Amino acid sequence: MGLEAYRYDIEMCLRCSSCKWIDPMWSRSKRYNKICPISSHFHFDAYSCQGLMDISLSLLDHEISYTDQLADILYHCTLCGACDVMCKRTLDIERLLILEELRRELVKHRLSPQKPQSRLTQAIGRSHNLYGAAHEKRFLWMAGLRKASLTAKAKMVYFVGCTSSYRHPEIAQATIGLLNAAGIEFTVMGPSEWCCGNPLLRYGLLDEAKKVMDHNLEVLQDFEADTVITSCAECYHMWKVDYPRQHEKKTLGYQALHITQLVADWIKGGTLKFKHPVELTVTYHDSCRLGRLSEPHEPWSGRRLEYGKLYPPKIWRRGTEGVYAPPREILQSIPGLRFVEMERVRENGFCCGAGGGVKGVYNDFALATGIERLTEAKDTGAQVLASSCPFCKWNFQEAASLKEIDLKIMDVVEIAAQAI
Amino acid sequence: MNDRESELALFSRDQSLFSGISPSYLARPGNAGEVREVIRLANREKIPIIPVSSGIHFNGTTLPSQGGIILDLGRMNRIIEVDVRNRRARIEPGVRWGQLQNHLKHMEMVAMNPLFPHSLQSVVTSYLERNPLLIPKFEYAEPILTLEVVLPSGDLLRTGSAASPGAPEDTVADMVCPYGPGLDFYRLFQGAQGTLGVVTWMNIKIEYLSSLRKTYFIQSDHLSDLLSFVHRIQRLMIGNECFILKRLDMAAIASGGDQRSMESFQKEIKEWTAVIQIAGTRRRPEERIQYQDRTFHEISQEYGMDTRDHLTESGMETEIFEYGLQGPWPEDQPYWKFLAKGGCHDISFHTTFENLPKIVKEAKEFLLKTGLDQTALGVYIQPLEYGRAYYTQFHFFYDPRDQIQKQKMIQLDQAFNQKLLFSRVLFNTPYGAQSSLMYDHATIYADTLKKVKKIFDPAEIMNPGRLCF
Amino acid sequence: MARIKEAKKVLKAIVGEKNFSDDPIVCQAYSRGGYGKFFWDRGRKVPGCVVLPGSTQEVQSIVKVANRYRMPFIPIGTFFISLCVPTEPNTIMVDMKRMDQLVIDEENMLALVEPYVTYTELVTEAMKVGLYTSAPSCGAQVSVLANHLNQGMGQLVHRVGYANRRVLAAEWVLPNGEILKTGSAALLEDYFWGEGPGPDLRGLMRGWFGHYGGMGIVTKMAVKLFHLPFRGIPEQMGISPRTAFKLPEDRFKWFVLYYPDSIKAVDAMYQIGHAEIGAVVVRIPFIWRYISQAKSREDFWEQWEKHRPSEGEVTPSMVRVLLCGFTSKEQLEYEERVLRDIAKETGSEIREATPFSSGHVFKLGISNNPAVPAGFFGVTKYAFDSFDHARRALQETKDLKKRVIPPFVDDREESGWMQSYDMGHIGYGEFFSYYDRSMTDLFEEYQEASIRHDIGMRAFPSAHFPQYEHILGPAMMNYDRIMREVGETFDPLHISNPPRMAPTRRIKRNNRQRGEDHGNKKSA
Repeated sequence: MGLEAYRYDIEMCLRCSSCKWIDPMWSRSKRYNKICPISSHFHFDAYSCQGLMDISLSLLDHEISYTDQLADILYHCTLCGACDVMCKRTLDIERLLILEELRRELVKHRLSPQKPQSRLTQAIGRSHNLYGAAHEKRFLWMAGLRKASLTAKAKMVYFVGCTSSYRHPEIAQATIGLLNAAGIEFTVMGPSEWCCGNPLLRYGLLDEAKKVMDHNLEVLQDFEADTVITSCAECYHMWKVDYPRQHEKKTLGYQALHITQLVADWIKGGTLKFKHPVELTVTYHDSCRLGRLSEPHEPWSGRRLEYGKLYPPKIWRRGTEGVYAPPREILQSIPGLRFVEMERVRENGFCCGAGGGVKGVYNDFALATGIERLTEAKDTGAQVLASSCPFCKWNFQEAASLKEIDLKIMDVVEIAAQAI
Repeated sequence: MNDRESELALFSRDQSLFSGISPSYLARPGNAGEVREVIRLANREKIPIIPVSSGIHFNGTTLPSQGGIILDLGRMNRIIEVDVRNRRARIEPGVRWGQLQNHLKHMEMVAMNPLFPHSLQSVVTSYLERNPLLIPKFEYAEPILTLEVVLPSGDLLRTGSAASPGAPEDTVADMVCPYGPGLDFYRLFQGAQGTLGVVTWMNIKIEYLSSLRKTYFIQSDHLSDLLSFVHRIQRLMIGNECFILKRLDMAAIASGGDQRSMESFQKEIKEWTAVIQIAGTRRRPEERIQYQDRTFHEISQEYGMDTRDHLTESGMETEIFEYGLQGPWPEDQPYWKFLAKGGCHDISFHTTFENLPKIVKEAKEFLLKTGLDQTALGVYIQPLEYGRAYYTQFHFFYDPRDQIQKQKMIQLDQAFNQKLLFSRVLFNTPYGAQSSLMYDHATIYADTLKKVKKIFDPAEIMNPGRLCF
Repeated sequence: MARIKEAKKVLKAIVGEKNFSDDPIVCQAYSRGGYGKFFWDRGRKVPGCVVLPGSTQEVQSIVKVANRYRMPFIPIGTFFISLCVPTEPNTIMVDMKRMDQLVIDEENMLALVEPYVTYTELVTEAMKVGLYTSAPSCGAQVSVLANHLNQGMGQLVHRVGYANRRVLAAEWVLPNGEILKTGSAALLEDYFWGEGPGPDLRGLMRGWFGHYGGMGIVTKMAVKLFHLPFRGIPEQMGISPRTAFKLPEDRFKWFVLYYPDSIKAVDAMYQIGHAEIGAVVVRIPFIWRYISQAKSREDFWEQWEKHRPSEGEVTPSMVRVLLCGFTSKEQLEYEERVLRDIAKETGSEIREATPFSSGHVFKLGISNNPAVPAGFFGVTKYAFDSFDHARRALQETKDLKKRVIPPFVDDREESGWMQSYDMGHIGYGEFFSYYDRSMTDLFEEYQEASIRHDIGMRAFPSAHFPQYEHILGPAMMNYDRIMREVGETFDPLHISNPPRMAPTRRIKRNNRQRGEDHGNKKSA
């Protein structure tokens, strides 16, 4: 769209700093009151949504140019969307879309971090996965699973994703275990599955991302499936929000679901029962793209009238309808499991640190952010930090190991699989 | 104006331990215009000015250190207006407590007053000197609203919304906003002991005077226990007037000015007494008393406190508390502070709840070491703002005719204040030795004050030698 | 240039490399304000550098460097207000984010805060020990210390008063780099009381409004906290954007009193103060009902256009009252009876109201809600004296309002937002204006016209922002002369957020190097 399309939103930053903090109503301590990883780490206002809005306005007014420093700020941002949701508590304003637009501009200006960018495009371009690992090994984790666990011509496709495939296959295995236990007919894309495109899109590489998104959509069509399920928050967001957004639609005719949504329904409906106790104290981390950012894209075109009114009215994605409850319902239904909440939960969740390409560009910062979240988890007295995203799990595990934090990192589906 | 020597000499002494130099002149202006004229003259001729409003002085703050003109504001004693709707009264500096409270009583209103001020005490002076108020409720505290001040240059300044165009007679403002303009001037003039300007009128807050009240006396020989109880009562926002007195002070006040009664009360009462009044407000006063009373008694039981509506078995002493707390000491009776020995040296400070018992204990030990009469010590403890802090005033009683005792008091003033200096206290309005001790140590505060003084009084005519000036 | 470079080197050494930046992008993020954007930041400059001090000693060193090298400096908390935007080149932005220590003294009901503690943090921690303070109207995300220095309105002020009432002792780096400690901190590291010693120098800190960093940098401040009848975090509920918390029902109750106009509403507010009840007493503009409930701007307009009073019709007055049983449940019951008596006498309909606002008054303030109708908002008329004064000052603004409505949003409001301070001893009123980006110039004209209007009608003039001192001063006892002298005494080089404190003084420009203009260059 170009940054100029967001001029109104950019000008409307009132510098209230809400983008830096959780919702005051939900504040439970001074210690865990901040919500923006870059702001709380770097302090300078430029490292915050508010600062980036000021910078954007100066870019639009040609007071400054795109620079390396701007790239440094923007590529430290995990695009967690906390600022977007906090701003939208009272304002009808886009924030995250502006940050993503800025990334695209940096790519255009060749100021995005080039080495990581090059690694990424090559990895996905050649091997169809974020890690540059052999594409043939994408489904190696399935060896040993009963063939009957998949159903050819199933209407439901389990999109596994790169991180589950190559880094945390236990999540994929647990997901399949749950699907089987519930008697659900499903299949996988197999070698046709490419990276969902999230790393490219978040990086600002729109054209490259479109290629992989189009490919995956074609594959889905070929499968004649009407439902895509994932066990990764990032993949979920891509299928649910970004794929339709690229086509300026709210939906492309298929339903996108996260495995936790299904499992929660199965538990409620009696399709699945937890029989074995899991004697653990568990706290849950809301992955950004499963939580506050997971409302569907609401296409809008129209015009702005007096007082900034939009015609026709726009539906704003404020994070209200994120997938918050299902993972909790699952954990709270498991016998023997003691569930404790962190302070920053749901739409107030503090990012794991890995998203937005930060893991690939500034791993130290990703780990520092992860450590902040782990500290919060540890303070609950939990033995386990559960999430619903392999990317979160990956970063948390690495951070826990680095700081020797005594906390087990698991996915919700892993815990659930233990209980069936 | 007056230059008769004997009359002037009266101003070189007061009820304090200290003395000054006789002033050269005595001026008794009748209005702000005359005040301005005198000050302009003083500026031109570089003559010191010492403003006085009360008819009696206790702290040495009005004793000229360099001669000069006593600016006696006693003639400016009008209660200019009372605005019940906005709960405000505008008064001149010569208005005394009795005059004001009697006037307000007829409108069922009252000004927040300190503990039995002398009948000759000016209300404006009480507030400017930040005398602690008996009623620690009202989270907003601070009874001063707006002021009219004649600056040392002779210019007029009105503070807060009294600076509005047309004020005071022809403005839409009711002159009740203390803030600004530009600076919170109303704060600078407080505690200034007349060194920054002369207040010619003041708008003060007034409150409803309830006719329905209950007075409780809670006695204990253990200050810590009593203080904890009072602190809790304050925290629960119960009551109007609330203060603690040591035996001698309590007996003196309860006696109503009769020495024999005072001596008799001393034998009957415990070492410490808290006085707490629970009053109604304008609406449903009995119900208000009822709910406060209920919690009050619950807390009393919890703390094992014996709460009574009388101090001694005769109950005679209650009258002065029932009907007199909202006003000055009766003018036809010897002042309560003079009853014990004729003179009283006050040492006051602010401190915190947890620090207070320790300081009282140290004071007693200190007295022991000095060899002074242990029984001649009074203590007044005033909770402030629901127990946020505590104002404490030690009363060292002595015979002012006895020069040896007086000397000892002067030494005690220096030594005791020296001891207090680093004991987690604040000399909010420093008098006597407190001034030099405080400002010799708080040098940057003193330097900053001097800068402010230079702005307001470049000719240094206003009460020179006072504070750090 | 060389001097500036040298100064920066010294600053970097003071705060450490990672706490210093003079990068144009980083500095750019400090060149615009929030409230007052696009008019108060006209002529804005991009700062020369940004420093993040971690201690009072570092702050003092920075201020001394600023003096030595004659570079302007501006301390910022959360920087909500545009009066902290630099107006001169080579300004040092002193961003206080690293100074965020908070200590609560439960026994003595105070909190000792550094500059980057926000109200949300303070109230959250205070509630755990049964204490509170009032979230200000600009929102609980602002700095406690900065707000106490500059404004400090909020709905709970009915009891706790305006923020200058709530300042205890403080530690203050003066514009010349000296460290002044006030009140009980003058001698010891003890911040329990604010007065004196002797004349109260808190009087220099601010007036009705503050100096926006124009009198140096306060690095520590003890602020008053007040007793709450419960301890702990209240029950929190809801998902963004509709979140709230629930106060104990046996101790808190909201009511709304409805009046056909503001005359009786003001009488009721007086009566409530006289009766010494209540924790919040506020007259809400009718439009606020729709602003606070709006799901979006369009939703607001749809509802507002359906329900707003007709042109010329007097807007109804809603007085919202929060009663609190601070002492006991019985107090709440008593106060409710009294309130109902008042409602009956003043002829109002009284209804128990939703407790949804509870969180707002303790922890949210109003913050950005006023942006709902049109995006931009501002107070154009402040009337800070008595209720009667507020009502009159606001009502007589009718003709003035007609000059700006349209294009400003017509709120159909005759009496504005009014609230009680100091148990009704002080009554405050204000008009909000709701406007969009294209109307910011008109807002500024309106604000100045409001001040002149106040002077003309002999009210207490509104908006004591420093940029109006040349108008306000002569109308109010020439206080600007004293401001100039204070400014010249304490900041002779005029480097503490120039020109905000006493802007009418002549800056001795020949004593200061202007240096290179660091910002506002048009890029290729």
